[in-house]
Amino acid sequence: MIPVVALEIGTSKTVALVGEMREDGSLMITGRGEHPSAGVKKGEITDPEGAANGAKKALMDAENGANVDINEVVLAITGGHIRSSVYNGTAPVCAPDGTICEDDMEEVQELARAVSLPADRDMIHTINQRYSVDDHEPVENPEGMVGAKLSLDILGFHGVRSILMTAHRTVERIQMAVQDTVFSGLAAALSVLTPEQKRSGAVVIDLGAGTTDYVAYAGGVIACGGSLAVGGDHVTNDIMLAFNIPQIRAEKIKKEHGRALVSDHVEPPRLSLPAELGFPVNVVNLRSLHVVVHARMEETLLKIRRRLEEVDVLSRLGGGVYLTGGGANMKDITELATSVLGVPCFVGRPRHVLSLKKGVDGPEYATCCGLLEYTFRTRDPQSDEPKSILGSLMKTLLGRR
Amino acid sequence: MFKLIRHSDESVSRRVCVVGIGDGGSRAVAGVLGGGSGEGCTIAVINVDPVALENSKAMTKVLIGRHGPADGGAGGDPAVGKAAAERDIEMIHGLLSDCDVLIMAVALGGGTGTGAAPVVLAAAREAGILTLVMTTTPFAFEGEFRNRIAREGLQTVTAMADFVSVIPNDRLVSGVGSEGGMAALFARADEILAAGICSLWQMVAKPMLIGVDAGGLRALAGKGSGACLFGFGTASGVGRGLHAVKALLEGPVLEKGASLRSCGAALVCVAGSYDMTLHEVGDAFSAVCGALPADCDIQVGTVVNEGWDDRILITVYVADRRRTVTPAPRAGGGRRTEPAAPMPASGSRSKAKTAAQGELMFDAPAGSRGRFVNIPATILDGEDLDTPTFKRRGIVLEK
Ligand SMILES: Nc1nc2c(ncn2[C@@H]2O[C@H](COP(=O)(O)OP(=O)(O)OP(=O)(O)O)[C@@H](O)[C@H]2O)c(=O)[nH]1
Ligand SMILES: Nc1ncnc2c1ncn2[C@@H]1O[C@H](COP(=O)(O)OP(=O)(O)OP(=O)(O)O)[C@@H](O)[C@H]1O
Ligand SMILES: [Mg+2]
Ligand SMILES: [Mg+2]
Repeated sequence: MIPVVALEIGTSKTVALVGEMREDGSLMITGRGEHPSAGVKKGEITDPEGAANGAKKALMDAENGANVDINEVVLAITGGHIRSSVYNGTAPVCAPDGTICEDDMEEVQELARAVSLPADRDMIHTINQRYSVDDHEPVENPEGMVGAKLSLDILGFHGVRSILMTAHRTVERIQMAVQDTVFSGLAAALSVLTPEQKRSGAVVIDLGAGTTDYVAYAGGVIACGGSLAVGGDHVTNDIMLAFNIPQIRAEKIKKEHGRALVSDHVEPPRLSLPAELGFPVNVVNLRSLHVVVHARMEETLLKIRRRLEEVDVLSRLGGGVYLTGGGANMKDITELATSVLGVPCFVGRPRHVLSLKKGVDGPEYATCCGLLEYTFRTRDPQSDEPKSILGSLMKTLLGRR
Repeated sequence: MFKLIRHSDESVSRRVCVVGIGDGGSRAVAGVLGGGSGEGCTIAVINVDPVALENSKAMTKVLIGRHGPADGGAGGDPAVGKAAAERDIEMIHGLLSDCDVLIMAVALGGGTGTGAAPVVLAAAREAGILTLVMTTTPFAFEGEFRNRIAREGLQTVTAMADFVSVIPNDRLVSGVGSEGGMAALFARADEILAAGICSLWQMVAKPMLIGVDAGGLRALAGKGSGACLFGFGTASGVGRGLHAVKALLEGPVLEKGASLRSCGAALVCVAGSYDMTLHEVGDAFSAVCGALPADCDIQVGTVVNEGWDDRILITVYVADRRRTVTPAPRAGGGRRTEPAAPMPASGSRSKAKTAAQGELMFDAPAGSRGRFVNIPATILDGEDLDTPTFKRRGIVLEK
């Protein structure tokens, strides 16, 4: 198979991965580049030039490692503007005897997809949920069933066009073509969830620097997904302002001493940051640090819980909740998430990736690995061309294969 | 879709007095009454002209300069308007005696408004009242004499008030067909002033869902930094949020959006009926912020107006740049005990709460956003999530 190049221009880091899919379905990472991002805030590109520079460096490193010539990438898209909505298509069944055929299914799918979004938005993905025949219980595959009318619900992910365009332009600046764009949260989910988890209901929450993305599987379909423009940068900012310390220091103590839960006794109680070039001595009460981090993380998870409750997902999770993104490395985060969401939460790692270099299986690489997963799953293995309608992507997305 | 949730303390309501001074100011204030808002605040007019007062629909009418040289009209001389107000200063004290915030409308260029406004402002400041002013400057065709009076008047007013916004009447010419003539132009000016008063009133009187406060207003325009420009758009029905944005961006006062593109600081307020959704607010903010320069210092605020039905009003105040403000110590023996509070509190029942809230709001107006300056705020469920959670929750940290 032809290798695929995945690019995530994240708020904190830009990652490029070159990957190939092996016969057994595992992903072989042959090249990898990573560079701190510039000009990205809350998941959106605010300075295309700065963002493009980081992307260029990451891609060059990946190119050298994999020894390939890169001219096309699959790009991750995120930001608080991304939303999902359910759309429906309904049509009478064609055949006089009411037997449903593939044409009927394609017809309602087209109808459901022909949604009119607000003028400033573009669709990113449309993903089938369930068919139903004459308003009966939803079914996965109605072919051969008999009825008068067929309807299909689809979930659409959409975003603000100008922001999506900016991402495209940024990549085009460095003479790369955008092969496809994928919502970061969806990519992360594809990378960490097993087919079984998808079927029994599971949520992936990507705790990034600029955004918190989520995708929920429930009842055998992708029920909802989206992105909140809150992330690790907010935690850092809160720490900065709480202790009046510079950003670099705040980021460092967050990673080294931050905790999502507060305990009564913290040893040592205080942390003394020595004077360094340009920085005075700072003393930080560690319990207060935990209070600040806890307040922010709990709030963020509560916001996600609200979103999930809107479509009644939490009561339908057999597979649990998986946390990805750099924020999943925070101490006590799975415990906090479990208590806020009331379902077991775990750290999610990219599944079956093979790499010569270590570290690609960390939760912060879920999005980028998921881009590769997505692209291979949408490709026809014979021709290497994207698969046709109703193709196996749906099945992979929904864990039906 | 979900609705905005009010998280502020309902009991903190501020007593607002809306005052129109002179003929132009008085007519603008009448528009606030007509617009179905203004409940819960005193609406008053001050004039030397008893006939104009009689015709006004305002609740409170204050006739100044009776039996003096200004009797019946200031004849375009601010000195006369000023003398009239000073003569009847007790009546002005009486009018202000029970309020926390003064919103003043004045059409600069005449005698009464231009002359009396500084006197009223001085009285308000002495009483520790927050002062917000909406003004217009005359059309070019009214001549250099009136325009000079207006320029000087504007200078005086901006030096005294906490916040001043100015609408240059000349910008209205392009917005109205010539058939309407002068009357139509003035009617348009009245309408815009009324919208400005309305938005200011909502920002200060109602608990804000999202954080603009008096400190933010002061930082934008007032006490010596120039006046800011103002524009608005309002709409109802399907797509009302974006229609309101469109009206705003195509309106003449902000020169079809040109004033937005060149500004250094802006305050955007979205006010809406109870059924306004977060998505509408978000879309409106992003559309307006999209028209502002990337490095613009933006403050946003949202208010729900229970008295409205199916309506969204977007107002934008733009200035060259924003200042860092230190709370100005109030002059004289003010009635209030917490001089550093950004907003005078109402009554003693909520004093403790208000002081705490004041501290939260005023604590470094620019600093509380930290690294999130210059990007649209993250607003969810009516809260500005860029402000640290522990601050919003009022958590006190151990040292
Ligand atoms: N908004 C509005 N502005 C007006 C109206 N009439 C006049 N103006 C403007 O207001 C400026 C001041 O005029 P007035 O408000 O009549 O003046 P005044 O303060 O009553 O003072 P005197 O007439 O001198 O007593 C004029 O130069 C016009 O630009 C009106 O009906 N509405
Ligand atoms: N051990 C740790 N404890 C707490 N936070 C951590 C830790 N390690 C990394 N982070 C945080 O994770 C964030 C980076 O996560 P990630 O790399 O997934 O983000 P990104 O992809 O760059 O951003 P986004 O997806 O939001 O655009 C940073 O805010 C970083 O501080
Ligand atoms: Mg990410
Ligand atoms: Mg007059």
